Amino acid sequence: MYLTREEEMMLDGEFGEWISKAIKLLIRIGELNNAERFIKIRRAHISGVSYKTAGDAIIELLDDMIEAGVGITIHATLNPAGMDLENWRKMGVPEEFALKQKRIIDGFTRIGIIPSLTCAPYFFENRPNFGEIVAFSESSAVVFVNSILGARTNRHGSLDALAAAITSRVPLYGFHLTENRKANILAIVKNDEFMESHYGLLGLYIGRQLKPSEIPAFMFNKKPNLTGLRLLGAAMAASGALSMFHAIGITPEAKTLEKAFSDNNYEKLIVAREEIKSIEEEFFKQDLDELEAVFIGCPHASLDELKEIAMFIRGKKIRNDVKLWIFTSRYILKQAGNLGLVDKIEEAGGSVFADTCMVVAPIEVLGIKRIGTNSSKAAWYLPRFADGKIDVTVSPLKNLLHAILQ
Amino acid sequence: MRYIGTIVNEWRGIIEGEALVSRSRISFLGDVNPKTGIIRDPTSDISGKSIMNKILIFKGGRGSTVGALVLYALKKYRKAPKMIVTVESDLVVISGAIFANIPMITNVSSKIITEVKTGDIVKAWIEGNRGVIEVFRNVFD
Repeated sequence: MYLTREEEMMLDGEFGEWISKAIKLLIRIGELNNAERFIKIRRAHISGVSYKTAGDAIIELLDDMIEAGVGITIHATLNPAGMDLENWRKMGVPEEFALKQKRIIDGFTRIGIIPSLTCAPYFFENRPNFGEIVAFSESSAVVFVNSILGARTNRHGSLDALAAAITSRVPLYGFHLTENRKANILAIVKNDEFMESHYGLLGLYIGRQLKPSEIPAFMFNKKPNLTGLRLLGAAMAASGALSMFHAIGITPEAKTLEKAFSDNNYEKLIVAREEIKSIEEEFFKQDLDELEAVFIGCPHASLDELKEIAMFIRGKKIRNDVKLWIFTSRYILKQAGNLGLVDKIEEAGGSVFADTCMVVAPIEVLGIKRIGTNSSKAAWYLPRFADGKIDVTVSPLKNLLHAILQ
Repeated sequence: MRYIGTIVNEWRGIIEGEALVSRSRISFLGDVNPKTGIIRDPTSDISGKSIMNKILIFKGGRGSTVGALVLYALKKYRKAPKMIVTVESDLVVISGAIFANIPMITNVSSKIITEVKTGDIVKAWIEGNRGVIEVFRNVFD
């Protein structure tokens, strides 16, 4: 791999031990992927923030970086933490967890990363431009920036995204290159009767079938909204390792069918309600009557979703024995507050939390056993974290809300 | 049986250990209990088994990008596999293995996940710029 004079100095340790360590990791990744050189970046997004997922290992790493004087100069943001920083007591998060969590966020902030604490930084905190090469971790954000924004990122792990932020560069390969961003398979989806949650189930189905380097192009009968596409992308990256999709006529690099593919030689796959139904039955419980909690916001709820929920439940009451928790970013929570949406949800008995989500908060210690969500990604992870002691039902938002109203 | 692959990170000498083989892709966050090293993904073909000190042979990475950190934590708390061998090369697994110093070979023929069985004894070494994996069937199994 070709190194500039500056990169050689980084490797030799002239800018400190951590920059040398970080560029070594990136060079090895570049060599393995036949990258010819590095490219400078201005943005990164770092996953592995929750004390539940990152544990004590990240605390020690961060302490070491602070001691060594690591200072990140590019625009770098953080994934959700394990709790709402203001309302963690209301969530029932243990005190010891909260102390460790604060230490992790403080550590990341001290090395120069903005504590955005959201998995959807592309709405506001960190929105890459079309064609811009970035280093994003968080599998659902990788899919969003590649597919919906047409920015370019490989599927970075927490550690290599951090290394990219520390060195302000990434090895140039993979999804950065136009020739690797063409679709391999056309999925014709009969989605006339799809509700938003069905797109997530479609994502699980596709994620299991395709190889990590492959890109599906979806041809929908009916144009899905952004929520559907976000649930789709997040699920694809949970059951599989996909980094990107095209939606013909919708996403920016697939304005036409011809633009999405490099030639006419591609496989076709037809997906209807039946395939979606079978994946739902394979993985999830389907009982709405005995839910103890409904969790919405994986990925973090958009302002549109908060509006939809507030309008649906305003003036009504949810049952006292059920929790309705919605997770979003601090920024969107503030906007939703300004619009009076948070009041409407709280008056109906629901709660809106920021900085965290149902996947990375220590939900399994709260004793909730039967959860409903519209997110296939959340449904995929939740039972695993609880060693199978949690049952999850995937259902459209409106059905879930209807089931828990008094 | 002999297999050849790309070396992810260098090591010295011969690594020998017991194979744990999965035909699935793994998300180290979620699928593996980080405190015990036990596979807790109910859909996995190695569900309930410990990856600790095993030669972990599987299809490739999947899911959470935090997997890299989980590999680092597993190593730190002595629950990591002795070596990782994959068919597909996923960045999340690769960067975790490099950072945690877990020897790894990737781009190995997919035959390895059908031919090698859990419990087989595996030896791995470096020859030139390639990694070599040789398998000895555990006849007592």
